[in-house]
Amino acid sequence: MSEVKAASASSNASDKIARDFESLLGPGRVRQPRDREASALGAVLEPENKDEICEIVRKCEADLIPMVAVGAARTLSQIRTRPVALGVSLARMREVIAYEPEDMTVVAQAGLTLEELNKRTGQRRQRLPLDPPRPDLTTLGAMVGAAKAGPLRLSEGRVRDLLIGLEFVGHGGRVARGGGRVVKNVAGYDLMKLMTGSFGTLGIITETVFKIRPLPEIEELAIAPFDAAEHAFKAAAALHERLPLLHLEVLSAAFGQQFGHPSSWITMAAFAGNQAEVDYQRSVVAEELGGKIALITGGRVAETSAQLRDLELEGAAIEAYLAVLPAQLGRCLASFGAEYIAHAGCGVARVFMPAVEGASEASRTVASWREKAHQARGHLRVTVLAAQLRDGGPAFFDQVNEGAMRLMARAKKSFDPAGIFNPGCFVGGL
Amino acid sequence: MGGNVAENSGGPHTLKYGVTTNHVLGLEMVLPDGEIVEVGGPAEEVCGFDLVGAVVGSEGTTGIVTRAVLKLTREPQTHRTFLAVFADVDGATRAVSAIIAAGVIPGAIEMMDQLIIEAVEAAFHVGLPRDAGAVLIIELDGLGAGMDQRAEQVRTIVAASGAREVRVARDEAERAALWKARKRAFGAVGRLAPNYATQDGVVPRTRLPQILREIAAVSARYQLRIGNVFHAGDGNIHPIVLYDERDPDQVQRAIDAGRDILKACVAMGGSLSGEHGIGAEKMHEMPLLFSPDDMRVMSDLRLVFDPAGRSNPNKVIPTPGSCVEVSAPRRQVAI
Repeated sequence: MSEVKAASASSNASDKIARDFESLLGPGRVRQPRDREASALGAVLEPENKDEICEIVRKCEADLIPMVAVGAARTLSQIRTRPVALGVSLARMREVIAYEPEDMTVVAQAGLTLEELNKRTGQRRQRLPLDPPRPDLTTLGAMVGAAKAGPLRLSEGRVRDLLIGLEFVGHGGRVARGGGRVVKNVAGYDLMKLMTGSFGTLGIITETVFKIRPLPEIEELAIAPFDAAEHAFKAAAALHERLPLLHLEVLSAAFGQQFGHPSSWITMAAFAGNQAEVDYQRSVVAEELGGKIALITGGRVAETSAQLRDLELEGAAIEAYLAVLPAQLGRCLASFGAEYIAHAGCGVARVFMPAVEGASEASRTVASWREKAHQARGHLRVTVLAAQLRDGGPAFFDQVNEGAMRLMARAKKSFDPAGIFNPGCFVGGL
Repeated sequence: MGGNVAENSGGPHTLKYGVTTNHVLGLEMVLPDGEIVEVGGPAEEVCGFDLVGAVVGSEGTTGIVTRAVLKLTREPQTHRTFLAVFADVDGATRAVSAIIAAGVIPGAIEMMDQLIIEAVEAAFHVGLPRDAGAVLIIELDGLGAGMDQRAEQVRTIVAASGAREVRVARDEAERAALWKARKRAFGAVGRLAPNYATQDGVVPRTRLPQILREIAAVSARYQLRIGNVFHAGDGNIHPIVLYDERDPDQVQRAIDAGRDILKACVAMGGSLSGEHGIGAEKMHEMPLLFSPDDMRVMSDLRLVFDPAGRSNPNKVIPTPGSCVEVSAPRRQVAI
């Protein structure tokens, strides 16, 4: 991997790479990085089909040019310390290949956004029930590659639970497929799991097959303020014990204002079903959350769910993804001294630190978070780090045990022997 | 648990609850070189590559799993279990599609055809209608509130699909009796023929009518009786081919009939196996589903865990050295 050209992201080298690929793909298919892409990529290619991607991979392997697939480049721009020479955008590969509403499956190219996909399935009252922030900017490839999830993970699962087939271009420019188009399938090794959350380090995902779900008949959302985090988590746990909720969040005080309760911790619970199911759940929620509950119903549910899904702490210096044993989430977060959006039933939270002094303080902060996460049997991944904190700042991925790391290093070496796929920013420096 | 993890097992309730891999968070395993490793963990998020996902369903070819960390699901408040009786399998499969199309996800939808109904009745006398062409066992689960409405919705859909009778289990004992009938179907088949072989193909749910017609055609072609008891909600068929192993000709016809059915599944956009695995028996059918490059990449993944190829060798992916002559159908039991 060390052989990969370290200087390839410099501007002269980028120009040469751009010229080389223009002669391979034709004019207009190589462009300068735009906006946030600039911090992640040297140049951007826009192939039109997988054959072109195969060509690109072969050339990159031959010339040792680091490359990575990109959607809107948000994940990468927030974690790469240095740009990758070449970004492969799938913006021209965004077709729905097959949508079978009666089978509840959909095959789509990886450049399609989640929002576009769900617009299509919504016409049949179905959805791919994954809700990471900004579905308008989240391509299916990026969602799989970074294993993105949102509040619905509680009831509907994650990418790994819904992805039933996949195609990618890997080493040698070879196209490989795993899974298929049926909802239950154990034929062959599970390449879908391997690629999910691999952050572009094993190849370029070109096509995805998902099982999808019906939209809920009726959905309501309850919001309750609390004067202490402990009470908000306690109420959430009581609800989780009694109801099969759609999702369940606890928000720290910085987010209270956005839901009408400045300086309060918020417990937010969504429930769904037919009228009788919803009536029953509403009564249990009112019982457990107390008198100050605000109920969101009808057309406002979608709007409020989207607001929750897209929540950000503007300008945060550090954002991280924490995963621990669910029962320990509240206690763990209380010891962090940070703001958070907690998926309370799953033991997972997005954690935000508004400001830190510099890279070394960022490292100390993340190290202390990680120590607490490990005590709660979990781990923590940094997802956003302000650009000025990256040199000498914390590693983005947490450590895994030695044995697992050896297997991961072997997987990387086997699938990417030339070390060209998004090198140097994954777990253990892979 | 080790068997479940190795095969990524399913069963009747996967329609709503998923298969084994959806419930495994971490594993302790012994690699084929003797090293003990822990992959994944108790937290519900993966750090690095999803090695747990790679091991689950790898049929013992990645090592020996010694411990699993599992995610539990709360028991639903209540169940409602139906027996829907149809004149033929076509009506039953129409009902399956109609239920799903209405946005209802039952806990399970299981189908038994006439041959199986006969066998179960002869063996266990559970009160299935012996003159029916097919029955569905449909189980709803969830909150007690709203269950009556949901049950009525399903009853209406099933009736509209041509069910001649819909019975509801009135209590836990009746529910248990229905499930007992379903789960003992394979045992009952033992009364019909000296031997049977079960296939485990999958088709897209909407292709169930076609695959069942194809199975009937295969039955006629090879002059072997074939019963069907399967997970209809998932499109996961379990045709049971009856034969007598004392007759070499019947043995060969049983093998050929199984292969023809699997080929038909793949041709309809399905798969070779929904939950039983590939092993040696279906290994040579893998090229129907996967290209040489697909299989090469899968082999690469296996070699990450087992570079020397020692753990359950010559299974799943055909290699030049793994020529296994299937001389008898696999006598497996399916639930």
